[in-house]
Amino acid sequence: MTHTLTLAGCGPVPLANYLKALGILRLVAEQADVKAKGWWAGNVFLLESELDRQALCRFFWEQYRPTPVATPWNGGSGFYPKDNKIALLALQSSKLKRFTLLNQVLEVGQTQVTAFGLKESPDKNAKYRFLQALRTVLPDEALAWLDAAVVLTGEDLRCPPLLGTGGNDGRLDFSNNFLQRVVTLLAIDKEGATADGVRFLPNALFGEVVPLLSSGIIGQFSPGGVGGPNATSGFAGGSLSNPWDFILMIEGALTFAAAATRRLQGGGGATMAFPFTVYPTGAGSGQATLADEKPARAEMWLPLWNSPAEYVEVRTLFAEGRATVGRRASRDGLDFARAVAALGVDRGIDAFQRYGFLMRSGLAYLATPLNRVKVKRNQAVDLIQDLDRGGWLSRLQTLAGANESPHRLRLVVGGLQDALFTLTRDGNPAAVQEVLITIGQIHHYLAHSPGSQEKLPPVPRLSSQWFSAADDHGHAFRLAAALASLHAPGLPMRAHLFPFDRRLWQWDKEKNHLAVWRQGPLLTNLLAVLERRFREQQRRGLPEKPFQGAFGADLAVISAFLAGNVDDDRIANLLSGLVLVEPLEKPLPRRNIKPQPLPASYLLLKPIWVADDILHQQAFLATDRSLPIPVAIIPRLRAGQVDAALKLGWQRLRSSGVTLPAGKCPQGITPDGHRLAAGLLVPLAFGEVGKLCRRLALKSSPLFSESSSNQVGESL
Amino acid sequence: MNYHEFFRILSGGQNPYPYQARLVAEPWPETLEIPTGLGKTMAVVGAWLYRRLSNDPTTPRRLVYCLPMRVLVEQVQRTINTWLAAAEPLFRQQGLESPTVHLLMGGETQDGWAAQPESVAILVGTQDMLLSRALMRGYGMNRSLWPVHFALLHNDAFWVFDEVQLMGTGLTTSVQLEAFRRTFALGATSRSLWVSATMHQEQFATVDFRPYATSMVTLGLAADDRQHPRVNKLLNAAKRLIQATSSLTPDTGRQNAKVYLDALAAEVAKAHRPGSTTLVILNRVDRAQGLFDRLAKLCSSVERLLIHGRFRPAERKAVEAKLRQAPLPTGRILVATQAVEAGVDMTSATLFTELAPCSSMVQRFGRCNRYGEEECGQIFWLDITENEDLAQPYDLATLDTARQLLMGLTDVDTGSLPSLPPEERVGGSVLRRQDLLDLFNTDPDLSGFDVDVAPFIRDQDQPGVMVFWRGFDKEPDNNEPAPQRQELCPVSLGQIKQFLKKTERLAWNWDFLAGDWQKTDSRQLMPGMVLLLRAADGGYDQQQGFLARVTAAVPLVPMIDLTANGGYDSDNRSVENDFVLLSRHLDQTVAAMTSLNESLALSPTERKALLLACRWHDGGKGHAVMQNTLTRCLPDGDERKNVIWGKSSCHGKHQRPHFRHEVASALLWLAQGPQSELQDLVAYLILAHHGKVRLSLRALPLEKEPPQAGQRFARGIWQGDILPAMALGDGVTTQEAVLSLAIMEMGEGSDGPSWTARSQGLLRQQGPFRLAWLEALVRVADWRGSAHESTGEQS
Repeated sequence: MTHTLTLAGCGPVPLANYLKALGILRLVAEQADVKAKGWWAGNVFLLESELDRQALCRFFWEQYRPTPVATPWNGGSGFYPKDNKIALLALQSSKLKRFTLLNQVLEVGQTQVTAFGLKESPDKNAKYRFLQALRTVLPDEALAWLDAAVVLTGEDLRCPPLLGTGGNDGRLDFSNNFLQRVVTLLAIDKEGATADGVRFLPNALFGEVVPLLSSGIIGQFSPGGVGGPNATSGFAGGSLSNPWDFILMIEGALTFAAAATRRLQGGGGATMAFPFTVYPTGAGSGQATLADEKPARAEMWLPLWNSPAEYVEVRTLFAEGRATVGRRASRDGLDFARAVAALGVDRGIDAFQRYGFLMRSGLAYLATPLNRVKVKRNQAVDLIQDLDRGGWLSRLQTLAGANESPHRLRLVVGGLQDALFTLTRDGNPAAVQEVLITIGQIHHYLAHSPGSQEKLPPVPRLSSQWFSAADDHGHAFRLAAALASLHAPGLPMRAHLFPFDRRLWQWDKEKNHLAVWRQGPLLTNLLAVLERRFREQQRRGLPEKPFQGAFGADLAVISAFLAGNVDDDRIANLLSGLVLVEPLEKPLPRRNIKPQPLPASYLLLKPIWVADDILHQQAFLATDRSLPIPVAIIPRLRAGQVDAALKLGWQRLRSSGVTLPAGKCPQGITPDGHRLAAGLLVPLAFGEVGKLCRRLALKSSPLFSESSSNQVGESL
Repeated sequence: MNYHEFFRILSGGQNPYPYQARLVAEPWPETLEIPTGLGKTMAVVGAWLYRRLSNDPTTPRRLVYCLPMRVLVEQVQRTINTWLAAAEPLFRQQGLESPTVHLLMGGETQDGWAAQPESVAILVGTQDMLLSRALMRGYGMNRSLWPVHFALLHNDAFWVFDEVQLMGTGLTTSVQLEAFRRTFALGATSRSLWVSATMHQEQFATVDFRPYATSMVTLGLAADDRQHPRVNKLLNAAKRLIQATSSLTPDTGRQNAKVYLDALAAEVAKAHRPGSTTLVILNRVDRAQGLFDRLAKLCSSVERLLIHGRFRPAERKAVEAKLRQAPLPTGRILVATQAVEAGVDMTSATLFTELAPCSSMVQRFGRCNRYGEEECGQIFWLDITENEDLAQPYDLATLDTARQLLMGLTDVDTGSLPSLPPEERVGGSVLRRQDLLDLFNTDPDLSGFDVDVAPFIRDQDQPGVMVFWRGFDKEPDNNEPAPQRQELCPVSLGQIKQFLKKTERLAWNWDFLAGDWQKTDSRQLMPGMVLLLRAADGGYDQQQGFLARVTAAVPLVPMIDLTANGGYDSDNRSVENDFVLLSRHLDQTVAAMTSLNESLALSPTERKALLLACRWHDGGKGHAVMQNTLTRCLPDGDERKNVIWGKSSCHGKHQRPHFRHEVASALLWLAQGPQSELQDLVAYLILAHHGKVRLSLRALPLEKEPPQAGQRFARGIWQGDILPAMALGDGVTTQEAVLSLAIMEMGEGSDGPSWTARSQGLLRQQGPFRLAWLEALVRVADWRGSAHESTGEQS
């Protein structure tokens, strides 16, 4: 018969309790009921097995065989003359079966220490060889501890942050403490537990309140327990130094033993070989900043699952837990957040509890609970893979992290990290836009920093998916998207903002005359673009006007823009990011927004900027006629002489055989010349051009009556 | 026929030495300790052949001959081939299939042996190639075949490790693997035999082999062997040891050892005797190349040859062919690296050797006056002092020990050499049980990561990479054919990094997942990689081998077999050209399995599981994505679009990238297959039948996602996909099935335990060796089923 027990003493926070839950599941599965299952429900851990409450307690009191945990490579481990040996000696005197394996391992450790002729713990160089030798002789059951505490790669030794620096935390040796607690709780001369062992267990398992022990250290796993600055977090009503907590926590930490496939994996980055452990990132938690990145040691994301899982599944999950992002291993918290979306979803993980091992309390590393990240599929996360091609993102981070890197770059890169982190948690368009904006800012920086250009190419091609993911149907985005899509042979919109070679994907070494974008108002810049494109058409003798876009705006955007109702800065910011995105393959969905009335000046002048081909198709222009842009029109607009510009346009339309509405040429009052010019630059969707043409073609329309306020009287 | 007669036929008339005969008369030993030159290979291969001929049940059907170095491999293969040719009629007389020999080296594409689990075969390979396969990470091969090679190398395999003193860490790994084969279940019995001139029993007392080490049986020379005239002559062939005048010191070693090499060249030229062979063994390839250059000027009339590990087989074969001919009247000078230490069956009248570890020195001495053909061989040893750099690849302390030993010696005939202590190993890792179990899982690597098993294979001198040159202009085309063995040159990581230092030089690595050539920079280099280089970038000289400084274009090796790279999603073996109904393909596969069952002694449960797996293995091909691909070349309205195909002549990519029909097959089986205790095993065999999805069921990165948020997906299968009702042949039918991927998630879900729980349970229950064995058999049956169809054969 199976029982489901609620282990209220084992919440996901603090880390010690999380590990305790893993420890209990592992021990019950390995020593009592191989079919035991465990899972998280809210803030408690549930255990399903043949053991009821009483049987579970009896198991720990009477049968539990402590896993052989020994760190003969550490000072203070009990293997060296100056060490505290009380626990070791006590255990070695015991004949009980439950300690046989433990004693065997202690003996192997002692033999190795003797074989190496060590009087104190081996120094850095000797340690690797000592550990390597130890790993060749330890019984299988003792390897998990070694593999969890240290990782022997091909050439050096690495310590997963979870177990401090190789099974100790500062001066606290975990294994010796473990053994001391074992002898405190389990009788060594007879079967069963000591009085303390009996008394404290229900507290550790079920969170029952019992009087506290005064001594005992739990170290980095429970910051609340050591009275550091975080002393108030974590444990609610629990005991801070229950020796069972320590034992079960260490038993749980063994789940983190690095699998061979992980230990042997090639590639750089030390911390990445450990399950669910990543380099820190300042972004996202709201607690840490870029400045925190150096002293902070690592971050762990511990999975919380809500279906009954066997220990073997948990172990496998931890073996898989060195998450991969796209095709490479995740390197930092941000990367990890991206991988969360994939592994978490694949494995049905509910959430990840984030922990930072932050150095905030002198030398002791503390596991600080950060936020909890809910797992959900977030397709926008995949967009980040684009940034990662060729390791661009990491190269950018390296560039910004360098000692000499300027403050401005750090700032924008920090902004990108934050934006990306937000994106990993929620892929809404606003988050995607924020990423695009920061990428744009970074490119503005790079475009003017030849030094950085040598170290970093432009961002890899961003797929057109970015358009759809960022589309919030808002005016600013739609307008920027239309502008970004402006294209003509050799004249992508991007070229006006950022000078780089599209084919080679390298920064231009020479000054590029197309790059006219400067720091300054959007309107000034768009006017400069309009001018430059027009001049290029003339210079290159392009047969068609270079003002078409892969994606055209609708008239509602235009009217709002011309009326000054769209945030110019936001458009500029979005545009800087969007020009780096590949052209849309199919247009964004149409919006159903009724446009506000359009200024007559726009209505009249816009056809002049539309390709003749389209005007022919719209039957606006006879197929044998063309409608070139009058040379003098842009200078007029630049000078704010809208009326003069309109006049030029009016004449041009006439001489191209366009039948214009009755009346005289309208007079322009609003908008000003620059805004009007900017509006003319925005490509329109084919259907919208049609509406425009039809409107103009209504001969009898009183559209441009002299007295009119130059507003179109009705919506198009 | 008794063994003496058999042996005479094999050897062209020679009688076996007494120890060679004992190898047949007595049960197989674990170790064979025989001095060099006394026919160890012949002893082992002869005994194995004779025992196979006699149907000895203690003799596995695959002889896996593992050599520490690449240069030996082809020579051993050639020798074995002549014996096999002699033995063939004897096998035929008994109605037995004659054994075949296969090479396992980098770039070796003949994996025909892997498709023949029931055939008697000899596999010869280097420790890199064989141990990496035994560790489920075969170097230089299609990764989807890893489990098959793993299976066939652990089941029904007789491992012979030759020259174990040169194996380093590989020896420990081989011992641990043997221990694991004795503890985990096997599909068919396997055993190991370690062969060397000097054996140290303590090397076998590894953590898991210790219980067996005490009862190990060793076979060595007995008194009757020593009295044998030929043995006597070999053991006592005179060799005088003299210290050479030249020595490598910080002074003489400057500027690429210019002074040293100049002096040495002169000394060699002086010592060389016309009509005889002079062998010069240097510890480093660059020095060997440097000396070879200098000798050209000093002894232009003498035939000069260079041999080391950095040649393409094409060029190396030419050198080896010359070595087999008698020297010209002017004689021959062979400059070599330690590559000739072992196994190369050659002798010299004069030997120069740089100081090396004791065991290597003993091996090198063995290459002088090997057969007692000279009255007295002359051996000059070259001292190396004071500098760790110059001592590479050895360390100074080891060389100091060796120098001490040599200082006291003047005569070094095989019989009078003092016995040597085992060398202390530096570095290297011991393969533990859990490591092996972890390595069994190949899935995570599919995302493009390579697990580096090198620490279990070699200690120093990491296995390097393979390079080959092609003539293209800027970037290689994706249709550039896969490399052939003839053109692959082994290069150390250091050398290739050196090569790539020149900015315009580039290297490309085939990306199985993306299906294209990826530029690889120095930081991404991993042991075992196969790199494509541009011929115009140089880096190779036909006489001198790999040489980073060569800038002249590399001559290309003529191509014979032009097959493009097998992309990750393609599985050439089972891509066929005819339209074959699904039910027919399943029938064929079941038929192939039935006949495999007859050749192999499988248990009734195993048979049942295998047959069920074969019957259901391609049920997932009923998936619309698969059928779409299979019929896409047919015109609309073609009637053939209305039935379910197992194979077709249409090609192209699936609409869903990374689509794997076997996932659908396994899900279908779990949902509709008959319930029994074999359910998980059969599901595993179905899922693993292309080697692409095995223990772990996960979506691949960059996979196309289903439109609905929260909809599970993995390997192109989406939660809720529908398989039509199908006939799987032999009366087995399925209902329309709505696929559920609940088992990919952790914990017990709506469809029972997760795939992880099931597959880990299987691994625990079956052990890695038997599970892989069964897995391999299903794949072989599938290949054969497909082959039947393509050749139009009826089963």
